[in-house]
Amino acid sequence: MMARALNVLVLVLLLTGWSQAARAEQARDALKASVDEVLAVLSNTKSGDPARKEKLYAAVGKVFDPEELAKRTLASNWEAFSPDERQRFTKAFVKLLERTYLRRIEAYTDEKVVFMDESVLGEGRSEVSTKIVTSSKEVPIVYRLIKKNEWKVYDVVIEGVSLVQNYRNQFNQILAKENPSQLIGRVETMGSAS
Amino acid sequence: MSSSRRSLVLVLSLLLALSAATGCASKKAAKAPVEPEDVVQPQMADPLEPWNRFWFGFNDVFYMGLGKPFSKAYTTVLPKYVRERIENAYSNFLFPARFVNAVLQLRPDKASRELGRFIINSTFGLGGLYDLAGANPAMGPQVLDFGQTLGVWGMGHGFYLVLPILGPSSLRDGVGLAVDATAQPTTYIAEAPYLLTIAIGAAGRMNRIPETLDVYEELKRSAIEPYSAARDAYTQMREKIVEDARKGAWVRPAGQ
Repeated sequence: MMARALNVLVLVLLLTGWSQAARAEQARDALKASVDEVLAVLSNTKSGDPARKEKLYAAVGKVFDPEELAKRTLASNWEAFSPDERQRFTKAFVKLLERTYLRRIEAYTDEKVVFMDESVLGEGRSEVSTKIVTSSKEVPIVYRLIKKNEWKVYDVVIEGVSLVQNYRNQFNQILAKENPSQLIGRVETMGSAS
Repeated sequence: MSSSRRSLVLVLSLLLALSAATGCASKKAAKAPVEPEDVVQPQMADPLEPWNRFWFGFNDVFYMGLGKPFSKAYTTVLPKYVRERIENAYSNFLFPARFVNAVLQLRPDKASRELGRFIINSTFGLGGLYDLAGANPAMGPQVLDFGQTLGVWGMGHGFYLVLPILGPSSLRDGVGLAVDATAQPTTYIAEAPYLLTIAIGAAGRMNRIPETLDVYEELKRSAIEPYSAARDAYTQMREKIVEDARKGAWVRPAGQ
């Protein structure tokens, strides 16, 4: 009786322990799958190829949550935006990110992406540490992910600089003097400039 | 028997109710935007903003007008391989400042790592041209500067400062920069002419212009308000460097 109870206890502990360990790596696996796909697209297509852009957007889009990103850059200001303004802002902001980060991704050559540990930030949120290793240096990049239906990236921290926080400070400063539609206008202009 | 079973059921249902309640509470908490990494970080004080903005504008003209054509010519003449050798040699030359800062931060582990790197790279690495020590991850390069040391000692940024040509800095890090400069070997070797220190510093810094320019242009492309973006990025970056330096320290300043 006692032995059986112990067996059950051990089994339960093992199972819960195992499922927790599995859950702890989920965000990392989701991120890694997307990064691997991006790398595959980069090596399989040429830079002038029009299909390349589409494939890259698709691969990146699997793990990025642009709406969550846009929302977090506005923080409490999000409430002051009308539904229409929120939509326009998100669209313009995503375009700006695509334009700047696609360039960065395409400049990728001999670098290696190393995945390190994942740590839990809170309920349904995790942080995955990675680094990009080149011949001369290492750049630490931390991805923050939130569990919705899938794990989605909502912030990227490069060498200690959080993308969301950087934009949030800029937007806060602009919104102190200008209205939401003026801010959207600025983001749209930056997103379409080349 | 039946009473004990009933009490078991009672305890279980209580536990369930409790977990459901906490589950609800945490869901509500998750909705609110106040998550630790979501709190708006205090910005570095910027009482000299007009002055800083002037130098920010000056640096922009300088980098775009002189730095860019220079960088283009420089990278054409010197391939990446050569520029990396120069960077390594310059970094090796700056070893004393890093070593002294490791000591000032009471970090014998970091000091011995710097010393080990210096010895290996100066000899087998041909005067620092090759970072052989860095092949071992435990012997890779470290960030150690006097601004960071002051931060480890508990000093804040002071205020934001844009330096001519050198770019974003702070009162603390500006002082750090000046102190670190005095630790260059040629400043205290009596026979070394003053000009040599300047020449090595200029060559080392010039070699970094292409990379610096890349970062700056990236910032300009992605930022809506480049001045605030640069100030915030600098604040966050330095914050992290000091925070990392405090990790594993034996001695912490009071109140940290």
